[in-house]
Order: sequence, then structure tokens, then C-alpha cells
Amino acid sequence: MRLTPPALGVGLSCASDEPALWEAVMGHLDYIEVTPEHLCRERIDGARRDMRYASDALAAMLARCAGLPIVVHGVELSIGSVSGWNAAYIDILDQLWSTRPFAWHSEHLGFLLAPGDAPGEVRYAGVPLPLPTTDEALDLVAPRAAALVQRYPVPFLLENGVHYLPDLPGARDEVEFLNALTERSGCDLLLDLFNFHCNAQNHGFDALEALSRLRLDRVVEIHVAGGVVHDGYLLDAHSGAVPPAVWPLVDHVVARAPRLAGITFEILDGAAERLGAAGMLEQIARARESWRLRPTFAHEVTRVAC
Amino acid sequence: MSLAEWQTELVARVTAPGHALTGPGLALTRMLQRNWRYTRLTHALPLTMRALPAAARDQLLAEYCDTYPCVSFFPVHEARGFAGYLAGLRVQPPHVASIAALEVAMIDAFEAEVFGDAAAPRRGARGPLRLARGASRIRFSAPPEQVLAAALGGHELPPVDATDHELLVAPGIAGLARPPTADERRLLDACERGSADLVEPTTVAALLREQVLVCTA
Repeated sequence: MRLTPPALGVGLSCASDEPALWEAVMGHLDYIEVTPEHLCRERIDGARRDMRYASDALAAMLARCAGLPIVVHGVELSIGSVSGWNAAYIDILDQLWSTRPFAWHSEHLGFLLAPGDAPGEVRYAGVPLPLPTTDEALDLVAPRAAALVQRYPVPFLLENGVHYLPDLPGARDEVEFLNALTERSGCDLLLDLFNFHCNAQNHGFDALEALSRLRLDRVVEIHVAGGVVHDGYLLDAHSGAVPPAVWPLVDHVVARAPRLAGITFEILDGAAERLGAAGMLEQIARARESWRLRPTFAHEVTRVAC
Repeated sequence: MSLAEWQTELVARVTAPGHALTGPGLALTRMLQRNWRYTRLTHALPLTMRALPAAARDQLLAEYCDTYPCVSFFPVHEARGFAGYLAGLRVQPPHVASIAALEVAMIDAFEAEVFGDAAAPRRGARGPLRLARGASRIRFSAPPEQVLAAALGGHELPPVDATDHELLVAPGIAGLARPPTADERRLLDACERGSADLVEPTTVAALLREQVLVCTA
């Protein structure tokens, strides 16, 4: 079974606790994207990680989202680690599901944990790193993604990442790898079009041409965000308004992705406060313009057979 | 090269200063990793960052990141590592290690509740006492309130004096921190030595209630 999520609309991913900001934007949102780790604390005992919800942070999130659906976007699973994924993330995801079910959940396609030099040693990268597009990477990630597809009765999405490393190993390009991964695992895509735009700019490919080869029937969510230019690279910084060049990519995908369920504007808390309520509302309104391009064949809440 | 070898190599190149950087993309990735580490420290140790002498701050942060690996996305681990690094410096900027230790202790006290470490003291419990998980004794070399007020306000920190000042931090203390009484200091010193000869019931009861101490029997 492939799950088709409810078509939600426009959402926000922002860790700000600023009440005035949320008050200004809540009436303009269809859902909120939550990162569970932002609500947690962690202890490390040797190789074992233990994450627990801080009850006040969890309660504040639940109160804020009381009238809206939530979707989950994790950051610490490390699904592409040869040394094993971070099981503590699965624990907190299970707890959240039993407390407040989500419409879908997603993670980053990449890795944070890697084998160290000593046997059993695991190193933390401190910054999300990309996977090569090799068969070995596909063989590692696909069964893990398939397990997450089965874990809850809602879709699991993997997000295309941004990276600054040229010449990743592998014969496939990013699009070919994403297509193969969704096919092999049954997972869906969180298509981050700002990341896609960054990679196109930084690594010199045509974003629209690449999108024309992507399995858009697997795209359930779109991310948009703003960034900065540093040393000639466009950086994914979630630091403000979405650059004008990204919106045509969004419009292109919205018109062609039959299972698309949401467009999420991502922004860091401090950047949101700098952008202000008016600036945030402008971004949300622009995302809604794109959302309106969604074809009339979009689904309601259903399960459809593959 | 296997995927495992490739991941090990890439993480080493991004995190370890001894590894050669090949190309601007890798240098940028390392810079972003460093920036995330600084951001986590600024988030977890705001007073420490303000109190660090501006001229030394960048060098101390760089040396810390060169020496201590990043272990987690969660700021507390970076904060603990940096506080330990500051405490171990042969020449320390005055008061900064104490401020960092206090900020880490406050996080530990908060997290003791999150992880359910706090246990209600058992009535009539007898046995060896030790500092509870999430409790800390933080020594200052000037009155803590003066040190913290100066750090908060971005003012010059007070001069070091000869008196031994202390703050107790624990999950059950209102506001998480307070100075100990003289009796409490004697009792806590005795507990640290593993001696019970100075145990005084009223003082013990108060410290158990505030989750400063725990009975290990």
C-alpha cells in the first residue's frame, strides 16, 4: 500500500517561542512542522544515546498546535550511517506518535554518525553530510527507509540535502539516486527546493531539467527557505525570505506532483524574529499562491493501492 | 573504498584539523561545522560567551574545537566540553571557568528532572550520602552575584578575592541555585570525603529535600 496523505496546504517550520510571531501567523497556516529533537534533551552513555521530552517544551508545542495538524521533520536519525542509525530518535518518534499523531514524518537523506578508527567507536560529524550515490549506499538506506514506511500508518519521506562537496562517489546523479531510493524502499520525498536550487547553483546543473527527471509522484512535501552566499557558495541557512529564483521551481513541481500535501516555509527562530510578522506572512502568502496551482485531481484522505 | 571507509574519512576531514582539506567545498563544510559548534555554545553558555575576553575568545574557541570532538546536536554536550576545557586551562581568564561550570550545572539540574533522576527522600533513610545527579557545587573567587551581574551586563568582572565563594545547584532548589550555609558546606565537604561524622539531621533533611544530596543506602 502507498499512503496518500491529506492535502494540507501551507505550513511553517520554526522553533521560535515568540508568542507575538505565532499569534500573527497561526491564522494563515494549515499545519505546523515539528522537529521532535527541539523538544528533547539527550544523554550519552558510551555509544548509547537517550533522548527524552522536556515536558514543558512538549506541552508548549501541543498547545500551540492544538487546532492544526502536525507533521514531523527529524534531524538526528542519521539514516545513512554505516555504524547504525540513532535509535534514540525512533524512541522519541514512537512517543510523539502515541501522544499526538502526525500526518506524515520525514528525515534528511544523509548521515551524522560514522565509524571511528577504533573498533566500535562512533564519531559525530556535527554537520549533516551527504551520501554517495552508490549501490552500497542504496542498499544501506533502502531497507531502513522501508522499515520506517511500515512503522506508522502515515507516509515517511526522505529529504534531499544540500552539500558543498563536488564529485561524490557514485555513477548516479542526485535525481537518479532519489528515484531509485523511493522505488526500492517505498518511501516518499520531501523535496527541498531551496536545497535543490543551492546544489544546482553550487555544482552547476540545470534545476528544471533535473526536476523533469524526478519522480514527482513521490513528492509529498516541499520545503522552501532562504540562505546566504559565502565564498561563492549559496548556503542553506534558513535565514530569511525565499529567493525569487526558487518560486518558479515550486510552481513547476506543484503543478505536476499529484500527491503533494504541503509546502513548508522553514526559518530559524532568530531569523523569523528578524524577518518579522509582516515578512513571514509575505512568505506564507507566496507559498499559498503556489499551492493554488495544485491540479484539481489532488486527493482527499485516502489509501491507494500501489 | 567501502562506504564505511568513505564515511570515516569524510568525518575525519570535516572534524579533525590535522586532516588535509582538498578543495573549497570541504573547507566550507568544516567552517559550517565549526559555526554550528559556536552557535550551540552561545546558546548553552550565554554568560560565559559574554564574559570571555573578546581578544581571547576566538582563539579559545578554535583551540577547543581543535582539541575536543563534537559529539552531539544537543548543546549541553558542547557546553560541558567547553566548561571542562576552560577549567583545565593553565592560565584562565578570571571567573570564566566558574561561570561556565554554573551554566552547565543549571542545565544538569534541569535535565535531572527531564530524565527522572530526582527521587523523593525516603523517610528515615540512613546511609552514605553523596551529591545527587543534577546537583553541583560551584566555586567562585569573588561574590557570585557580582560576577554574574557583571557578565550579564557586559561589564568588567570583579577582581579575584581571597575568600572561597560557592553556589549550590540542584533540581529541588527554588530557582535551581543558592549559596550554601556554613553548616551545609561542612556537611558537603564531609560527604565528599566519605565521612559521616559531621552529619546533622536538620541540614541533611534540607539538602535531601532540595535534591542536593541523595542517600545511597
